[in-house]
Amino acid sequence: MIKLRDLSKSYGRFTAVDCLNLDVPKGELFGFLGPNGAGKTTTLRMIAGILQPSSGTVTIGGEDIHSDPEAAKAKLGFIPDRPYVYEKLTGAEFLRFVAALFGQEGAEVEKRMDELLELFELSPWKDELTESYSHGMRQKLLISSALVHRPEVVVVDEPMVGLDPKSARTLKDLLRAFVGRGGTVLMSTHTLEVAEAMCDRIAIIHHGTLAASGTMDDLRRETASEGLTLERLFLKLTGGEVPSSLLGMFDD
Amino acid sequence: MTEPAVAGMAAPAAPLPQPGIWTLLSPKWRTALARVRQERSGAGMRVLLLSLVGFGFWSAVFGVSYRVLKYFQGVPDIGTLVATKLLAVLLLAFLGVLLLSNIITALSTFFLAADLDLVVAAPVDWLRVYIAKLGETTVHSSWMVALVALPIFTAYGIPVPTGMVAGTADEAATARAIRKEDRSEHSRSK
Repeated sequence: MIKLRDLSKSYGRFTAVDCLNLDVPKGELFGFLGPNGAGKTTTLRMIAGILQPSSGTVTIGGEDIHSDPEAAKAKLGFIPDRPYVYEKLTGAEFLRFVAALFGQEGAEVEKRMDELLELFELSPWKDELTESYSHGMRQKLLISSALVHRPEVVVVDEPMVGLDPKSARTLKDLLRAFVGRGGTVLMSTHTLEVAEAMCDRIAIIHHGTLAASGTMDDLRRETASEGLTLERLFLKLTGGEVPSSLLGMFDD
Repeated sequence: MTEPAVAGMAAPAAPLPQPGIWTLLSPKWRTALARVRQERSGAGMRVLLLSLVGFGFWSAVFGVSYRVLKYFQGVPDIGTLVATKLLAVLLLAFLGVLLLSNIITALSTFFLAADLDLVVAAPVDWLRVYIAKLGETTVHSSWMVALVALPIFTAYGIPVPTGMVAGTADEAATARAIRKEDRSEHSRSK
């Protein structure tokens, strides 16, 4: 459903993403992990058609995002890491606007909107201006907006940030249900427990290149790390373990 | 008429319905409406005060412009010409302000706007996004100039309703007088 071929993005002499190849088939929840600055958000923004790759291609449901952006984007719901909503629009107005961007309006959109707002317990705030929403409520509204047009693929960057435990649980269940009905999810997250528990397959990106990809068992086999948790495996692949010499500074 | 699908080849996909420019701009005008509603419900005195100050400023600009133009009208020979030249200078000044203001606003609307990701990630034709952003830039960068220009142009319309005609007539009369003078000088020299 999502295919990345030799995808690269450079800013001057700095290469943020370097020749990335990835396949996310239909009906899979794919985790995209990596340390800060590894190139996760850049990759997701290229998939969403917001950034132009320096080279390589992005295909969504068979449509190339750069040669036929409208057809590819119509299949996509993108949830960015920094939620932006228009402050002076009500929750309902915002969802109607996003649905209209996807060429949808009418009773079907209203029904879908009510379902999503009910699911995220935003119904009482439906007609309130979003400036009065908390960060978590904005995040929930943004997630609803990514689903309001019934996408085939959802690309989500750090979905759990700012959500209370109940909403995080709802989102996990929602994404699993979405995948269960044939949808595809590409999720970037720093919460390794979430990735381990939810994702069918995981890719770890480091310095813009793919360090490892596969199921948890595949990753353990590839890195000869039988029995390791995802956290230890992640640190092993990205070199993120704190040296014992540094820990020694607390001894005195 | 739609083309029949050829066996073995996929029929061309129907173009996606596109939102209108008005829809793309709906967060902007809804924001303006929401602000007006909030002002109405919360700060009546502030709105009244702002309206009075605005009206006072508008009247002052109109009054000064009207007096100056009226004075020019009373000056023989060059009055209309000076008023015309002043109008040209004003238009040039407005053009300069609009140019600068549009460049600055366009930079923030096209490159720094917080809603760009949301709009660009949606399947909206780039030309529609461009036109909507252009409209937004035009309104944001020009409303103040329009507000200042309106009383000045109104003042031009009242005391010099036939300003251009009168100016042309004056110039024609001056030209006739010069020609007459030339002819008489020519005959004297003969």
